This record gives sequence, structure tokens and C-alpha cells, in this order.
Amino acid sequence: MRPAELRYTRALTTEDLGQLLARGDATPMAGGQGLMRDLRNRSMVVSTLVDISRLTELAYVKEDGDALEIGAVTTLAAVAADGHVAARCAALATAAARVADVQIRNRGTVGGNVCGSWLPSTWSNDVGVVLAACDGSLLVQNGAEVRTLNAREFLAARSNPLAARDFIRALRFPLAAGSAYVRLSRRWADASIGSAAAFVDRVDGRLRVGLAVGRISERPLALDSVARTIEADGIDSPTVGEACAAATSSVEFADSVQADAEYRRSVLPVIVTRSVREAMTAGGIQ
Amino acid sequence: MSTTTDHASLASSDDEAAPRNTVIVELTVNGERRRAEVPGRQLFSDFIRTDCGLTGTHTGCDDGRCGACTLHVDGQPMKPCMMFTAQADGCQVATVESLGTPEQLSPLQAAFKKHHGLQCGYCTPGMLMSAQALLERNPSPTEDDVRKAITGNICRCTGYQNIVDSILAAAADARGETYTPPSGAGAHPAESDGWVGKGIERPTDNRLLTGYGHYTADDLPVGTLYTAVLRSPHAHARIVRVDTSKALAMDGVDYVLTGQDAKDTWNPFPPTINLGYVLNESWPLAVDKAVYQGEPIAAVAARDPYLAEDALAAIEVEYEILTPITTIEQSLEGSVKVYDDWDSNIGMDVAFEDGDVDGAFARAAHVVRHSFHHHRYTAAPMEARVTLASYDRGSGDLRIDMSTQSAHQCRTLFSQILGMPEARIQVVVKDVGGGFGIKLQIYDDVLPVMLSLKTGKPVIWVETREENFLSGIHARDYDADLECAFDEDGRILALTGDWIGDAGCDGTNRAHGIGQIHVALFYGSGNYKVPAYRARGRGVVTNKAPYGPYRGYGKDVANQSIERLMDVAAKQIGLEPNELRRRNFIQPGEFPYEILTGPIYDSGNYPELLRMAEEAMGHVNFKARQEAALAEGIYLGLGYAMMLEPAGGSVPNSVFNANETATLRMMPEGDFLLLTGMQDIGQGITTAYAQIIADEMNVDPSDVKVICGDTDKVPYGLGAWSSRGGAFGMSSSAEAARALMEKLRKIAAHMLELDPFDLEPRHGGFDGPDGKSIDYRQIGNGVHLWPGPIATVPKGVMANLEETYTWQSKMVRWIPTDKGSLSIYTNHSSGCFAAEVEVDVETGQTTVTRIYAAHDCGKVVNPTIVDGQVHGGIAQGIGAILNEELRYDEQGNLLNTSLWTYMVPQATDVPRIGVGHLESPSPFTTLGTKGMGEGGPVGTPAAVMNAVENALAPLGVELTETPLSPDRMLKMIAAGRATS
Ligand SMILES: Cc1cc2nc3c(=O)[nH]c(=O)nc-3n(C[C@H](O)[C@H](O)[C@@H](O)COP(=O)(O)OP(=O)(O)OC[C@H]3O[C@@H](n4cnc5c(N)ncnc54)[C@H](O)[C@@H]3O)c2cc1C
Ligand code: FES
Ligand code: FES
Repeated sequence: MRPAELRYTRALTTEDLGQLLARGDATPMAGGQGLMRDLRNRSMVVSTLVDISRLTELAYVKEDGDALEIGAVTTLAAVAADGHVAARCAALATAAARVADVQIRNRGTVGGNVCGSWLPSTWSNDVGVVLAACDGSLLVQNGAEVRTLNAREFLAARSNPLAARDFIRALRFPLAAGSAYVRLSRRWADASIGSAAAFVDRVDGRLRVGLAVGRISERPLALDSVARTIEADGIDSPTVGEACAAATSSVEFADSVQADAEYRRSVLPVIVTRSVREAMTAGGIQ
Repeated sequence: MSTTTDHASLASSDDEAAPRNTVIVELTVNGERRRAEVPGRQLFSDFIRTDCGLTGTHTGCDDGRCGACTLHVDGQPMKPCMMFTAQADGCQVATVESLGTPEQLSPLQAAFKKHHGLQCGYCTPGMLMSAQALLERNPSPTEDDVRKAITGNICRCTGYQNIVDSILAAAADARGETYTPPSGAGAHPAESDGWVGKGIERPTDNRLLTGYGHYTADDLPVGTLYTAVLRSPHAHARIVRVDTSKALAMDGVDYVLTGQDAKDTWNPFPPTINLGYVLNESWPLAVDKAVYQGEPIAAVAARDPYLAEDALAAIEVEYEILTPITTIEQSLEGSVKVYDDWDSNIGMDVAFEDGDVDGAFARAAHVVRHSFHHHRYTAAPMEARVTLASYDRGSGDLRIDMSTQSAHQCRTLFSQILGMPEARIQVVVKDVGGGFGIKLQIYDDVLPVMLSLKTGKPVIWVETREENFLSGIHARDYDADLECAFDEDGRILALTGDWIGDAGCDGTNRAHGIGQIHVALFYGSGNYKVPAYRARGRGVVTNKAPYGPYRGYGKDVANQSIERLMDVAAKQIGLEPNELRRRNFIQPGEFPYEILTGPIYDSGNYPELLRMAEEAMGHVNFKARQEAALAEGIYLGLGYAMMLEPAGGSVPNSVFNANETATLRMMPEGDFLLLTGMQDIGQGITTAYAQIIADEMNVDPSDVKVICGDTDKVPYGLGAWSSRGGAFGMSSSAEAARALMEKLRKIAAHMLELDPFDLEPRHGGFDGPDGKSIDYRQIGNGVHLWPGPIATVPKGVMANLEETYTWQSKMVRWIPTDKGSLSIYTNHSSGCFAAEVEVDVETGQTTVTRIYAAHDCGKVVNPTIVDGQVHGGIAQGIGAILNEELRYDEQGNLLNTSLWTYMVPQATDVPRIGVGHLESPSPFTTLGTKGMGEGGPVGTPAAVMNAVENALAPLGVELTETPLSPDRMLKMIAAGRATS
């Protein structure tokens, strides 16, 4: 299975990129590790690909205020290996390290990963789950204008919310004392069959929790009401399971060859609890 | 990065100019600078293999899962099948060819060779590139680091253990340390004086490790056309109209073949097996109706693979969708039929009864029932099917290079389908990237051959991974119903078994899968004494892919049935499962032992195998560990399964005969050429056979070249299946050597003017009395050159230096008794497999933490190779029982068509494997060897299931469905909790 006819071009600066996207028929390609599968089985046909992987200005990790900002074309491998990310945001480090395998992570980018939900043959999005849990945001550029998008809204969209000339500059992850990412899969390097990201803090002596799950349904899903229950009742409370059920009563659980919908429903409270416990331990929170 | 120009970037091009369909790239590959204009859509893997000719970079999938293609881009491992060539512009690229050469392996490559880190070698280049990158970034990796670093590289042969050891050894070596792999417990074959019994390294590895292997897709004649196959999207559909005119009119398209065209020109598939089965009439492409999703509808031959695929979209097909049959129940019900001219959907219905079964059940103290459904799965070798056909218009000769296990069998089948004189056809098998049973017969493989005959040009078909799942061989998928009568003490009085296999659309012609249920019927009693036995085996057709052999061929069905039954029965009777096994074993003193259905078990020591396994697993201490873990909420389980591996199958009325031929030829210079009809598919027979010849002829293995897989060179032979190498291949080779030895002795005696009895064989020649001595070289030169045969060869001896021996199995009995017993296997290897598991009852996930096999395949020729076979088989068995499942939906759509969804094990899924050996030589083969290699997938699944059931005993779970996927497990756990 090989791609249909297409044109390839490359942007070396964000200005280049802006101009190329302005033509209207171009699709940005970062690592290509998400796109290629669909291009090869021709479930996706594009007219022009713009390679953005060499936009060095968008490959960075920096701490900015109380958030970690990661340039969109930073590879998953770079994020996974970054000591600063590991120290400040364990959930992100773990999620980046759990995408696919070494080879794919060497090309795949965080920006491409969070757009994974809208590719025809996959809805993988490990980094997106973390971004949703911490209630992060995306910096999106269109022409000369840069705007901030709420990540939860972005990630929950049915189809890609970016306009034709938009591209993602960076992802912003607000930090917390402790965070963790728990991921179930059939094999180690395999699509997740349910993952949970948790961010925990103590603010004025009170527990604060940020929570999201992935691959339970087809989009990363923030679980605010469950987070509130945990904050109020503690992680060991039986109400946590009830809150999970209530929060997802209208969610369509995903069915896949790897795991059926019933499975995802059953493991939801398990991964939620495990991720929060792990985040609490990591953050030194009792 | 060294380039300064950036051809593809906007920065260097005119703002107004639209980007073009081609791109100019400049990059450095293995130190050599290259500049090329390539299509924008060109995959980097194609550039490397085709434009650069670096065929060490293999491809095993279409979507980035297998890792066979792994190379380095700017020092980092990447998958070029997931890249456009344009993305590598300006980069430094290194492929496997950059590591070492066949003459001078790199330290990592040398470690792979030493630790037997490769079998077929197909995954090896990618594996090496991943490992090399790991060692460059981490010189002291742990075993866990290594396993995680290679999760992007799938190996289907080795079970990973030897790969992991190779990498750890290379790392230790670079640090100036020595690595000793933790070895498996138990007995090992005694160190041998001769070559037989030594775990020597495989000389073939040097080329497989360095990119010098020759797989079928690696060497293409100039002007080769590429095949793309249009396949039915429907499981069951009438074909109303096929219009290929638009495709045919496309630039670069040479020919489009349809079912009708093929039917008008050639013959239907001939049957490959028929023991009273119902046969179908089918053609290589569907003619009137498609009977499975993925059945070929049309095949395109085009100038390049991209154009061939473009053309598929231009073929118009009109279907009338019919109701598909997707389950055994629907097939038995029979209101819809797969084949309109059949009376029902039942392709096979066979039965056997001997002994007083009803009486035994009437007087039994315990009657135990166990029923289960076993899922469908497949071999998924890392190299899928590949066939290259070159029809020579001038001579009328047809050469077919293909990745197969059985060159001659394929040649005959090609001749029958094409109606072409067989001598005109040459089948050539070079390196084969794994087979495991699915590369035995031909069906889609004939498409490029037909296209070559139609176009007069060489045509290649490289099967995509999707095609391999859709239309490659499927196996297992059966219902089992078992009932067993025991006396007070747990001794078996009678056994009944009823098996129904889902044979997909075909289990007799395209492939011979239906017979696996027949084999199950013969071997239902396993390693135990069963005085009365009643069995029925049925195979039904459905609208699924063809049914064929995959490492086990019914032995797995029998084994799974009896070994699960043993554990279920033990629980009911109130005995330890292994105690129940011991009470029923055929005893070591009772061999050869004929079971009721006719097979004769040659030798073995089942109680000792079980004892070895218990010792290795720390059986006596396990219960305490289990209880302590349970107190912490951790569910540990230990399970055992005996393994019986009938090998060397020889089936009447089939293409599976009971003989094999070897020719051993001495060169005038005194070295040897062994020509065998057996086939090396990565399992290493060329090394093992050289060891045998070396011992027989008193030379070194390096003095022996083994040739297989070229029908113009080697005698008619049936190839590698049914683990027949240990019986047929080894015996015929050894017998040919013995015959040649006698001939050489006579010639030597004649030349030395001595009596043949006065000669003593010695290394490379013979010694006689009074210091007289002669080398093979002198004999060879003497016969073929000077003084010539008249002076050197005694009367009555043919003046050549070769002997051909056809070895026939004496154990085969094809005339059935009045009860229907037959003997269709030569050897019976055996084993005891034991697994320890941990089950997470909250997530349903099962981890196999330890596994051990006590193994007995008679005389072991090369223990390293044998261990490698056991490892690889165990990994396949773990994958089979935990993850690998071919699942169809109700419309007959296959849901797993890639390695994303068909989950073969990665390095992180396989624990350390321990292997212990027992050697009970077979009295029925020349060297006491037995066939082996299928034991892993035969014994492992039941051992893992027994372990899981043992772990979940506190929750009252009985496992009746497979695989043990987490979703199924959670349901079974919930059901167990509800009833207990
Ligand atoms: C074998 C394999 C296993 C995988 N396993 C996983 C997994 O476990 N978990 C997981 O989450 N993913 C997985 N993936 C999917 C994919 O690799 C990753 O999501 C990630 O690598 C995608 O990043 P990329 O840079 O390669 O994206 P690309 O393929 O380049 O792009 C993906 C999408 O994002 C868009 N895009 C990329 N960058 C930008 C930008 N800056 N602005 C606007 N749009 C942009 C593209 O237009 C495209 O629609 C796997 C892929 C493979 C091949
Ligand atoms: S061919 Fe590249 S990963 Fe399979
Ligand atoms: S040796 Fe790894 S796939 Fe064959």
C-alpha cells in the first residue's frame, strides 16, 4: 500500500509556512508518523504536504510562568528524554515515552500527536490526554496572528478545529505538584485501551485534582466532576467509582479489536484511581 | 547535516511556482553522497531498496509496526516505510550495510551470530539498527532497557531471548566485561565428541546479518512489473460485472487479469488433500462469486508498484451481496451455502471408535466434561508471501522465485494449474523470511505467474501485510466437546472428543487445513493411556479466508483439548493436576506404544519431563508464594501442560508423502555438496545437515555445502513442514552419506590396492595398513581427472562421486484397520511446558512471568538451534493464547488486517524462557533424531491457560473461551465471582 500522487514541499520558517498554507491546498506534516498510515492506505488523499519538521523555531521545551511550554514540532523522543519535563511534569514525560516505539517517537511530534484524533484510521492521542488533564492550551498561529485555544475544547472537537491556514506553534501544560499518566495496552508498544492522566496539588491545604482519560471514548475526556469528588471525598472513597459512572453516563464507550466498550467502562475507575494515587505519591501529597 | 541547498523548501524556490510532483534530494547514504529526483510520494524504504539497491533494509508491513525497515537518519533509528524520501533530504543515512561485512562482522553482529539472535534473518537488519542505536545512547542497558528499545521491531522466529542476550553481550563486551546468559534449568544434552550434538554457529548468518541475504524481492530482473491485486470487499457476493478497460488504458499498466480470463486460460486449483472430504472447484481469481473478503477479483501488472495501485482504483466491479456465513452454527444450519454445488457446508465428517466407551462411562467413578471454543489465528511471518515469475518467451521456460517451504510441491501444483509441462518450470527458493506452515501451497502466488505468462515479462507480487491477513492461511478456530470417564483412582477409562473446525472458504485445495481436525481426532488421547475412545471430527466451510496449516496442524487442537481437560478433571476429582497426569502417562518402558487410533509413539519419558518442569518451576514452594501474594491482592498461578508433537506427517491421498531424497556429492577436490529437497526457512537446516555430513564423512561442517530450494538442482523432495526435517531430511542425508562412504571406501581400497575392510576412515580420507593412506582429494581427482575412472574405480562401482538415498518412513501405515486406525506420523517428540502468570483482576491483564519447557526430541543435532526453535515457538504460543485473534464481524469483514490489530508479541511480552532437554532417541530414524519445532505453539497455550485458571481459582473461574484478552478475562472473572 503506497500513497497516491502528491506534492511535497518544505517550510523552513514560520513565514514560509504561513505562505504555503495560504495557498489553501496544503496539509502540514510534522513527523508524518500519524499521517503516513492514512496516506499509504489511501484513506486520506492530500494534494500538497508541507513538511514542518525543520521549523527549528518550534522545537523547544521551556518553563514559562507556572506552565511548561513545548514547541509543536518537538519530537516525542525529545520530550520523553528531557530532564526538565521529567522533573516538572511526569505525566507528560510518561505519555510521550509511551507513544508507539523508539523509531516513531524519533520523528513523531507533540503537535502531530494532539491532532491524532482526527486522522481517519487512528484516534491515538496520548499527549492530548495529559493536556486535557492539566487544562492546558494551544498556541495557534494564522498569518501573523497568534491566539490561544483551550485544549479541552480543541481536543473534544468532532473534526479538526484548525482553520486551513492555522498551525500549532506550541502546547502549554500548567504545572502541579504531582502528575502521573497510567496507560493500559495489550502490548507495551501498542495502542492504548484506556489511559488516565492526573495532576494533583495542595492549595491552601486542600487537594486539587485535574483529570482526563484517553481512548475510553474517541476523544480525550476531562473528568471534572470525578476530580471534584476526589477532592471532596478522597481517593479511597467508594464515591469515586460512582462519580466515574455518573460522569460517563452519556459517553459512548469505544469498541475496538483491542478491547470492547464494556471493558473500557469497567477499567475507567481503576485507571482513574491508579493515576491519582501515583500523582499524589509523585507530588508528595498524602 | 551537510547540505546547504534545500531543494524542497519554499526558501529556495520562486514564490509563485507551485510545488512539483517530484523532488530533488541530496543525501548521504552509508557515507556515499547521492542526488536524485524522486516522486514526491516515494516512500523512503523504496528509495533505499530500489534506487540505492540496499536490500538489507526489509519491509514487513505497510504501517510502521514491524520495524524490519529500521535504519538511522542523522544517527537516530527511524522507519523509512513511514517516511517520504523527501523527508530525508540533506540527512545522513545509515543502513545495516554500514555496520559490518560478511567477512568482518561488527561486534554487535558477531554477538547475534554467537548467541543465535536470528533465525530467518528477516527482522535482523532492523533489529540490529535499533540495537546499535540503543548501545550508542546507553552503553550499559538493563534487560528491560533492551526489551523496550526493540519493541518497535517484531521478530516472529526467535522469541527475542537470544536477541536480548546478543545485545546485552555486545554491550558487556564493549565495556570489557563478559556476559553469561542466565540459562534454563534442567538437563542439557551431553557434550558431544562429534559435530552432531554441538551448538555450532550458523555460517549462513554472516550474510543475513550484513544485508547480503537474498530474499525473493531483493533481486529483480530488469523490467520487472509489479502486481497489485483487487480483492473482494465482501465476504460473499456474486460478481455481476468486472470492467478493467480504464485501468488497462492507464500509462504504465501492462495487463489486468480477471477471474474469467484466468478460467478461460488455465485450470482450477487441484486438491492437495482428500481423505474422503468434499472438494470445491475454485480458480485463482473469483469467477462467478467471491467466497471470502479478500478473494482476488483482478490483478494488475504495472511498471511500478505505485502505478499498479493507482490502477486498482480504476477497475469497476459490480457485486450482488449475498448473506455471509461467519460462524460454525450458521454453516451447520446450512440454509446459505458457500458452494452452490455442495449438498451442505460440511467438508469433512470423520469418526473413530474403539473399546467399550459406553460401558466405561456407565461404570466410571467420575465423568468430566469440558467444552470450549478456540479462536482463529495465523502465523504472520515477517516476510509475507513473495513470488517473482519470469516467463522466457524464447525457450518457453518459466522460472518462479518464491518464498515457500516446499519448492517441488509448488512446482507440481503450478504445472497442474497452468497445464504446463513440469520440466519447463523451475522453482527457486532463496532466503525465506519465516513460514511456519503458511507458505506451503500456492493460491495467490499463482497470480504473478499468470501475469508473466500473459505479458512475457518478469512480474513480482510482494504481498502486503493486509493481504496476508485477508487471504493468507488461517488456522485453529474450532469448537471442542470433551468427555472423560475416570475410575476411583483417577485412571482414564474412556475418552470422547468432538471437534468442529471453521475451515473458512477452503481447507482442501488452496490449502489443506481441514485435515488438522482429522489429526486432532487421531491424537485426542495425548500422552496418556486411553483404553476406549470415541471421536468425531468435522470441518465446515464459511465465508472466511482459506484454512491451512500453522505450526501445530491439529496437534495443538488435540493437545489443548486433553491438557485443559486434565486440569479441569483434577479439580473435579480432587487431585493435583500433575498427579492425575502421572497416573495416566504412557510409561517409559512401554514404547514403542501404539495408541488406539493407530499412531506408534516411538520413545519418551513423560514422568521425567514433568519432574524436570516441576523442579525448574520450584513447584514445591509455589503454593506458599501464591498464598503470600494473594494476601497482598496479587493473583499468581502456575500451570503445566504436557506436549506431544507428532512429526514427519505422511498422509495418504495428499501431497504429503512418506519419503525424502538426498544426494551427497563429493567434489574432485574432496569437499562435499549435499542436495536436499528439504527447505531452509530460517530454522537452520543447512547448518544442522552439514554437521551430520561432517560426522558421517569425517570432515568439518565447513567442508559441506548444503543446497536446497532449487528444483533444477535438488532431487524431488517435499520441503519443510510437519517438522519432517528431523526424520526425513536428516535420515536421508545420513543414509546418502553412508552409501557414499562405502563407495569411497571401495574406490580408496582399489587405488591403494587393499581390501576395503582394511581401511580405517580418518579425517578427510582413509588409512590402511603399512602407512598407506589416501585423502578424499586424491580419490576425487583420481576419479574425475587423472589417472581417470578406468584406473581408479573398481568393477561394479559407478564412476561418479555421489549417492542418492530416498528415505521412507517405516512407521507409516496407510491401509486402515476395520476400525479406521491409521499411522500417518513418523516420530513423536514430547515435552512438558510450565508457565507462571500474574493476573491483574482489576484490568484483566495477564503477564506471563516465567516459562519453562522440558523438551525431548530424541537425538539433538544442534542444541542451540533446537533451543531457538523452542523459544520462538513459545513466544508464538504466548501470543496465540493472550493476544492474537483474527476476528470477523457479522458481515464477514476481517477486523484485524494489520500488525496494529493482530497483536503478535513484542520483546516486552515474552519472559525469560528456560529449556531443559531429555534425549530419548527414536528407534525409527537413522540417527535417532525426531522432528521438532512445533512444540511451542502446541504446548504453551494450555500451560498458560492452566496457570491462569490456577491463579483465579479463588474466584472460581473456568476458562472456556480464548484468547485470554483483557476484555474476555474481566467477563470471565465477573462470571466466576457471581457463581462462586
Ligand atoms: C506504529 C505506530 C504506533 C503509534 N502509536 C501511537 C500511540 O501509541 N499513541 C499515540 O498517541 N499515537 C500513536 N501513533 C500515531 C503517531 O505516531 C503519533 O500520534 C505522532 O507521532 C504524530 O505526530 P507527527 O508529528 O508524526 O504527526 P503528523 O503525522 O505529521 O501529523 C498528524 C496530524 O497533525 C497535523 N499536524 C501536525 N503538526 C501540526 C501543527 N504544528 N499544526 C497543525 N497541524 C499539525 C497534521 O496535519 C496531521 O493531520 C502511532 C503511529 C505509528 C506509526
Ligand atoms: S516495514 Fe517499516 S515498520 Fe514494517
Ligand atoms: S529471525 Fe526475526 S523474524 Fe525471523
